Amino acid sequence: MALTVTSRTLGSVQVIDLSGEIDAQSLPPLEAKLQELTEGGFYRIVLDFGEVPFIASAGLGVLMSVIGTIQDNGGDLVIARSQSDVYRTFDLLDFTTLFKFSDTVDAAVAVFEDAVGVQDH
Amino acid sequence: MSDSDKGPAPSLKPVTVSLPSDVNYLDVARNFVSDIGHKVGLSAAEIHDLQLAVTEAVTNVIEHAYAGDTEQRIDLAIERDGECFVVAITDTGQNRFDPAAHPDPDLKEYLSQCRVGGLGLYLMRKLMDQVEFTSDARGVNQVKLVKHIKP
Repeated sequence: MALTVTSRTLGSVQVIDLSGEIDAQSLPPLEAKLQELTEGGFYRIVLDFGEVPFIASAGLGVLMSVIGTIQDNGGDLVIARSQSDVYRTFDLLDFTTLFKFSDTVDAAVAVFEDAVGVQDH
Repeated sequence: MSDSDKGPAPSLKPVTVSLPSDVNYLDVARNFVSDIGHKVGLSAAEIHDLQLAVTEAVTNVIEHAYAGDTEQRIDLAIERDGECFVVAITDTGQNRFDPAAHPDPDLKEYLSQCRVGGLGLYLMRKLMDQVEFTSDARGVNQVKLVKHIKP
C-alpha cells in the first residue's frame, strides 16, 4: 500500500496529509516532504494521520530525525487524528512524551496559534 | 453470535509463504498475517500487533541479515499451537542476529538524544509474549514470534 503525501498551508502552519501505511518501503515521500519543509524554513508542522492505519518503527525514525531541528528552531510537530493502533505504536515507544497529539487538524493548528498568542503578549 | 456460541477456536494447519528480501513485500507479509489471523478468529488488535512485529522482524532481516541484498528469500510460517499463534521468520543471511547484544533501550535517554533506529527488536518484545532467535550450523536463522491468544 503506497503512502500518499501532500501538504497545504493553514495560516502559519504547514499541514501534511498522509494516506496509507508507513513502513521502510513507503516512507521516502514523507521523509522528502519533511526535509523540503524544514529546509524551506517551515518549522510549524501538523501531520494528519487520519488515513494512516499502520506505522512501523522506521516511520517513527523519520519523525525522530527532524524533531530536533524543528524544535531547535522554535517550531513543533503535532500529530492529528491518529487512529488507535497507530497511537498505540507511538505510546509503546514513549513517543507520546515527545510529540503532541490532537483529535482534529484544527486543534493541532490551534496549538501553534496559541503559541503565537503567548509570544505576542 | 455471542461469545458463548463460538465453540472451540478454529485449528490451523501450518501455512507458509516465501518472500523476496525486499521492503516492497512488507505489505505482503502483513496481508499474509492478517488473512490467517482473520481465518482463526483473532481480534483486530491482535492482528495489528502481529503485523507490526512481523514488519519489524522482516525489516531487520532485510537490512541486517541480508544487508540490503534484495535477491534473497525470507520464509514466513504461521501455525497455531493451542492458544499460541506462532509466526516463524527464516532467512539464510550471513549476519546472524545476536539478541544479547541488543538490550532494551532506555527510552528516556533514547528520546532525549533524538536517536534514530534500533527500536524494532524492542517493539517485537513489547508486542509479543515470546521472541526467540535461533541459528543452526547450516546458516539458517530464525526468529519465532509467539502471541498468546485470548480464548
